[in-house]
Amino acid sequence: MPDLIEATGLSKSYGDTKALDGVSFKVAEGRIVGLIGPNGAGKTTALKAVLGLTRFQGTLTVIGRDPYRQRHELMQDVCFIADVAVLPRWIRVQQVIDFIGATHPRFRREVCERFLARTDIKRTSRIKELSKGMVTQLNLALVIAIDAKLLVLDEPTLGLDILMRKQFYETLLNDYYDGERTILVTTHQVEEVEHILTDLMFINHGRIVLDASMEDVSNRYVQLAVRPDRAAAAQALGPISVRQGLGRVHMLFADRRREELDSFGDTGVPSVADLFVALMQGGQS
Amino acid sequence: MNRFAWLVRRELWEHRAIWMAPAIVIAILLLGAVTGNLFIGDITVDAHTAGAETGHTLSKEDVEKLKKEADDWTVGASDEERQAIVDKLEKLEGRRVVGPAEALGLVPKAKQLKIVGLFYAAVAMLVVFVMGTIAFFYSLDALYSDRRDRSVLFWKSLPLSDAETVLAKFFTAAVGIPVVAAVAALLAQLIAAAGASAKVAIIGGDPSVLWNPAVLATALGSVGLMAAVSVLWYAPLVAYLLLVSAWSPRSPFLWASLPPVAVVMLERIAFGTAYVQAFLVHRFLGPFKAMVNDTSATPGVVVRQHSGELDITTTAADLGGRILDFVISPSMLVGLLGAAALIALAIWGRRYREENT
Repeated sequence: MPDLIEATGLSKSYGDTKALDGVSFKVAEGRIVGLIGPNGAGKTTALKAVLGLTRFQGTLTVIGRDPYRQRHELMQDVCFIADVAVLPRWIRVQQVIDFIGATHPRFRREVCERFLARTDIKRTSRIKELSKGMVTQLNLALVIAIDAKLLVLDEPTLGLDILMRKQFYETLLNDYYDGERTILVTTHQVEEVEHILTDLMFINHGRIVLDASMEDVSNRYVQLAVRPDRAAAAQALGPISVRQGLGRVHMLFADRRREELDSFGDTGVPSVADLFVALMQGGQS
Repeated sequence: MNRFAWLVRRELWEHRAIWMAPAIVIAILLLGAVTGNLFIGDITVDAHTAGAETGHTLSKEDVEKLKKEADDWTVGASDEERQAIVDKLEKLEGRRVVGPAEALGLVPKAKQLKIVGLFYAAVAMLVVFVMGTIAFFYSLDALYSDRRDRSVLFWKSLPLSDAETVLAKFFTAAVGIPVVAAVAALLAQLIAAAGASAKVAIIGGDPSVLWNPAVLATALGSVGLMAAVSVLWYAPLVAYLLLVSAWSPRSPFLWASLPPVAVVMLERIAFGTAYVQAFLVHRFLGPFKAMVNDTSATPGVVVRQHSGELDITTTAADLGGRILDFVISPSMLVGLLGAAALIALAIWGRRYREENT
């Protein structure tokens, strides 16, 4: 699959703060990439650069275009959802559909209508009259109706309850993702996206800390739950993180074969959240 | 409908005041017309001050007053024509005025026409004032409000260029609003005239003065002309406001108004002059001053004969000439060049500014 996004030496400073510090990465077509990082790590800046909303140093190509110079052409192939707050509050549901229908060449109105028919959203309502859940549904209806190559999600489920969050990602997978489209998502709620991701990218202090496919992650990292009496022996193998659990010590190893560790206790694939915590702490020490 | 038309339509969705405000003005005028509260009051007031009240016997002073009035309102008439009026008025002494219709009739025809012209102008100015205010605040808000509520992220996620967006907003303020204003002003004038005619007819007067073709044509024509001139003249002002709207971190109104006010005050303190102030007043009121800056105090109506029969070709040519002088003036052309530069900066601001919000 060709690369949809290609970033080399991406840098961006706000005053003295380096939001992005020479970041390089590639995103291939058909991948679902999670861009995970603590607050202020540079996630949103990276997304803004990809969307052509901010200037930067370095080179960046998105679907063969320079996003800052060719934003409006790029937006024919890119779709974007920030958290639910960005739909204009004054606009009516019917108006937003009509407007996108008239200005977006890839908007498939019937797809949007079909999705909306399953909801309680009234066409005459203004956005500000809709509940948060309804706004999310409307946003989804608009996004899945746009036949885009790249979908960028910036904290799309912020402020939603757990049912809505689940429904959001289910809809995305069932109604939108077809194996060819590419999705780039940032979120704090790692647990909710980890089962849908194909690739994982950790970012901290403006630098990429991890950039790997989920297969790589499960090959490379091993989670070990070891009984306290054998902890010292396991420790000798150099875990990247150690966490005290209930009657078990949880260790995370990188680049260790599972067979080496099996004798110490139960091994498994670490959760993205555990891996994230381990790598972030490692990065800080 | 093409994309640009949709962008403009979107502006009308968001800023409903652009069409609701004139609709409300017209509704109020309609209500006034239907309830009989619209009247060209000035004519009766003047008839009263001339002592021409109902049942009143005209004294020597009343007649002198009327004569003096007639004098004022027959600028351009020949000496013989003027004398004829004076003779006619002198015969009125000692006569009883029997009703409001006759009181009205005592006001010289030329003055009546002038007042009707003023009446039309006042109605149009009401609409112009409302729409001007709307255009001002619309332009200040156009590139700011979506940055404030972050919906700019939504608009920028659509395949629309920043230039298209800014130009659509410029078009809405600089062309759309004047067109709406002109249509609303024409409607308002006709409704007001109809209402006033009904009232005049009810008191037994002759409403035909309200529909004098020359006055009517001048009144309606000047609305159209003014709209066209406003599009050109106010383009730089709109562009300036859009520029402020695109760049200001908050409170675009203060960002737009404080710097010019500060410069005016500094100039006054430092040099004791008021060139900047004169420039600003010219920019704000230019076309209106050009229209009324004439020996005749009535916009667009030049009464040349005591009989009140206006020479429509003369008035139209006179008005057209003044407006044309105005249109081809250097300040108009410089203004248009300035507008282009300001719009370019606003487009740049729209593109660049977003990241800082």
